[in-house]
Amino acid sequence: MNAIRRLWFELNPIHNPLLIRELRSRMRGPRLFLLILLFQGCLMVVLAVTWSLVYGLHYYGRSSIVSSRGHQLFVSLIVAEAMMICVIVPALSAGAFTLEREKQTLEMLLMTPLTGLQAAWGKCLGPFLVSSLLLVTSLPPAASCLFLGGVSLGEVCLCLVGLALFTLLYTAMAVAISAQSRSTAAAVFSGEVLAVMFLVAGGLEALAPGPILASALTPLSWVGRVCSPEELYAGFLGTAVPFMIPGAALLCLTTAFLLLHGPTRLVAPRPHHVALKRLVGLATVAMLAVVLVWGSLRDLLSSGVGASFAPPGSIGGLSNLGGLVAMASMVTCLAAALYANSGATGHLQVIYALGLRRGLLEGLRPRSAFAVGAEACLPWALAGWLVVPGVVLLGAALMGEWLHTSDVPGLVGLFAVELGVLLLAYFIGLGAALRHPWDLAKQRILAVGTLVVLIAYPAVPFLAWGFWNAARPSAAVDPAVWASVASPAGLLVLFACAGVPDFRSMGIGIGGHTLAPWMAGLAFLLAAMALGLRNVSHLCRRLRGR
Amino acid sequence: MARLSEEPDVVLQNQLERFAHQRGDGETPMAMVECQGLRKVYRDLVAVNDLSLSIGEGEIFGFIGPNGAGKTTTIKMLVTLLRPDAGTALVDGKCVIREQEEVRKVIGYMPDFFGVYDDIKVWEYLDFFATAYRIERHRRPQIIDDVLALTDLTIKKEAFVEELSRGMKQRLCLAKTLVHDPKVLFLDEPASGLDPRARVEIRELLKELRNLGKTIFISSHILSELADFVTQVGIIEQGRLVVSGSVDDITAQLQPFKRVTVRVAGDTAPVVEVLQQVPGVRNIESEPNEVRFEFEGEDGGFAGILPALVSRGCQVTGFGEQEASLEEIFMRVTRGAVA
Repeated sequence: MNAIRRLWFELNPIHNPLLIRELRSRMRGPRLFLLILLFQGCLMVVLAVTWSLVYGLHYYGRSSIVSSRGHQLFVSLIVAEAMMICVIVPALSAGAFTLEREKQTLEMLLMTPLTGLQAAWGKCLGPFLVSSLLLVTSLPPAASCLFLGGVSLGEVCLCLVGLALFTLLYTAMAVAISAQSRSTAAAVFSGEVLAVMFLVAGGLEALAPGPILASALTPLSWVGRVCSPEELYAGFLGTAVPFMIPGAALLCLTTAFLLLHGPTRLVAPRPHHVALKRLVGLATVAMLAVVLVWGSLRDLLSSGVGASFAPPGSIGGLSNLGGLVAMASMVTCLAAALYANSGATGHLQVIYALGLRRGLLEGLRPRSAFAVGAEACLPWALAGWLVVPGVVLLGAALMGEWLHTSDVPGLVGLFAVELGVLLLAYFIGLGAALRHPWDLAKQRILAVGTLVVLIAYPAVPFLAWGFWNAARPSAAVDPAVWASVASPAGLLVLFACAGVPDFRSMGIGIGGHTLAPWMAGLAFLLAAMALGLRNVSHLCRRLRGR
Repeated sequence: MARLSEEPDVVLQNQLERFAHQRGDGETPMAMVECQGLRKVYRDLVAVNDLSLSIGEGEIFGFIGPNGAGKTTTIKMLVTLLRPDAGTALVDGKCVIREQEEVRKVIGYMPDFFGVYDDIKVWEYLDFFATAYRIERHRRPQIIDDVLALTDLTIKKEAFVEELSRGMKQRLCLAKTLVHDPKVLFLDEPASGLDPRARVEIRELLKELRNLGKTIFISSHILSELADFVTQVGIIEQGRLVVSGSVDDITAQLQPFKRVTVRVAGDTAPVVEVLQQVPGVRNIESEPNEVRFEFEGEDGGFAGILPALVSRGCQVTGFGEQEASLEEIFMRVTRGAVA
């Protein structure tokens, strides 16, 4: 009883000084306002692009991939939200304890009678409430989809509840990582990679022909299934269970375990925490066994995998897999862009250290030099993460009958675009590191800003075309759709709408061939090479000058 | 940050029992801070080695040592932030290893380097720590006003913390250390990096705290900071406590003679002549209008020197003992090496 009363005290937000302080400092200044503005801006772009695309496809009679405008708008909105949450939440919360350490406030915090659970809970609730505010601000655009039809209030609520649960899980994950990490950069990176992996894991779920209990374990499969009313129930022991119920329970259990286990390295756990952690850990493993092994894997093995490859003439499960992998790798590209320049800085330091007596690495111990080297490898590790699923997907496509119905050259072009974006991200990062060698904040702003412009710029003519055509339709092939293929942002919308796009059936290309993604990929690779050569010459000049 | 664990330890139990036995519980007044055989090793570096000391209630203990001597490590062990590799320490009778929570309630700790939170006002900063120390909501405003008044920061109550000057931040940190009214204060280099005025302000504040009856454990490598208000001194070098005790005791122990300065109007030769005849007087140095000498002997003999000078017609304008400064003691007992 005493333990329950203590636990209630620890979890009561009113008694949590960290939550109060986090909210006070986060709500002050223009940062939160700018974050909401950015979030809303991205949502608006996604909505506008989708609207234009959906309108174009409807108008030109190629509406096989869309059912209803409202539904399509809502799906792209919620998918965009899921991906943005995935990137934003770890960045907001991974500094929980590492920032305290870096600002030399951790010791004073640890000296207070705050328990580990109280500290982790306070640190988790702050960013969670901020992220929830972002979700709440997405309600007006979601409501506009309601008015267009094709989506129900229940779907909107279920999607938002799912995203809120994932936000809580990502926050707890980032806080736990932060308690175990030495630096904020490392904690943010680990949080981002884990969150993106969660996103990509949705691709595996897509192998299943219908909803499985594990559908609730990744944000994209959650919203994907919720948005298809016929896929809400998963088969389990001969009964139909709403797939999100065991999934939500598992998400909550995992969050609780992370909060209990995370801060044990910093604060000695109380006896009732240890007992509760064991209980929650056991329950999590049991639930995971039920959801993954019993409820899902059984279904997958009995029919799922075979069914995915079987039906010729339909895109089926593999297409969904392709779409999800492609989407996830696009998000990986963005995450890589965020960190590519720190890797670039790492490379720069190594080059300086090798080439100069008075290099940036001067005075660093071998361990630190190793850390710099590891940092330099991060973008390439991400590139590996991006390329491997692509190769697997292509292999699977070539082996299966899907080859006859899908657009393999289009997919190759697609991965060329992604690789080009990644290389571009790296060289932009290197350029920024050369320009401001000592100021990491400036490097990041420069690198990410340039990249965002590059990724989004083709969306601008695309939007112009879309709105122009809405008023004056003329051509047989919608140039707006054509233009979207050359834009990573446009591609993202296509995936969100229909999985892997079949460019031929959409009438995109020249003489029946899929050239657009190839051209776009080539353009990105060429731009990356040009920028790389420029940076290398800049670096050589700099080295000679010193 | 070292992992802080609380697993029972048989060796520690034995040490604690031996400790209690040596103290003779109930017979002598309990020391507020007491440690025995403290040791901390970082890889191949022995930061603190076999450190034992005892500080009574209401004492101000000056912990002096060169940079890198092990002062901060010792303090971190005493405030439960580092687990000692050997030895044991009690604060207010509670073990720093096994009763961390209890120890943290009675101590206030001000680290040598600390940061402040962004976008937080001064009163909010103090309110944060007051809530963390579980002070009831209705008592917090009064306590915050009190500590602000004590640290002379009332005027900055609504200011943002990051806008304060270095000296003000130092005082704010001290205010934060006081919100839960701790019995013992551990202050690690509280005046480092401050300008002379801010340093004087901190010193005045510490004197105020002494008057409030707090036991203060203060470390510094600047001796003049502590000289005029500490009651006990411990000098640490290379992780070992070289000397410990009250300033007077240590002075008597290390310097068993008195250093005396006599100021005269006119010629100093008669004074030197008289002094040469007094037993126990040695090392007489004469300068215009001033004579310095050392005296070793009974107080009665010392008391006779001034009347003897006056009776011989020496025009004495000043006669006084030159007290040994902490600085001198420090230079005498340390060898300039660091741990």
